[in-house]
Amino acid sequence: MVWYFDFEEFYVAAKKLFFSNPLKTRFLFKYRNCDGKVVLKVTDDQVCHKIATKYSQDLKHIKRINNLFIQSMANKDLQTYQKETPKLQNKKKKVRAKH
Amino acid sequence: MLLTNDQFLLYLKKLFESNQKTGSVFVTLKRTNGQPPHKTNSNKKKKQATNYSCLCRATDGKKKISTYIEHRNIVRFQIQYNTLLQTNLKLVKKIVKKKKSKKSKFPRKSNIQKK
Repeated sequence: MVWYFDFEEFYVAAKKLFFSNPLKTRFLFKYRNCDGKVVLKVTDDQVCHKIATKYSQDLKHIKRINNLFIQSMANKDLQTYQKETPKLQNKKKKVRAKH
Repeated sequence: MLLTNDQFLLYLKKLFESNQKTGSVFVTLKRTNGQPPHKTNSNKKKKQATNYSCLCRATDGKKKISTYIEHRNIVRFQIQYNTLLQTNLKLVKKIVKKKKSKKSKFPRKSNIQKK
């Protein structure tokens, strides 16, 4: 079981785990109102990734991960979602000098 | 209890409301084939219809509800589910402490040469 503290890293790890074993991987979301805590867990019964938060700023990350899983799980073709690059990489476009 | 997407979201909202003071709500997402995960020793050769859907389960430890999300219902379910999370998740705002600058209260006189 691995605990993450950064949502971007968790997103990358979760995506990697899901696409390596799509039928076995499950995504769990736990919310406790009394503690004000959210825990996300992605596992394929062998490897487990977890992240916890209590901040409202992380809600957008939670929604993003949710959307990833709903879309890729219900879709027949997994390759379209696998090709999407995570937002970690800031790619700069190379500008060719005009001759 | 297997429900339709709309019924599931209604019951999920009720689960969130009933577990405000104590308890937790669990929502699980899993990809399914429509077939059991373990291999069955059946002699009949069934044609494997590969209709993938997302199985969404929710529980609070006592009540269990579930629904299948088909490809055609993804967008609609996503929007409704996201709004549900937005309204029901009460999370704390992160306070970012601003670093106090060590500058003096009185501004320095600029070095303008007087003509």
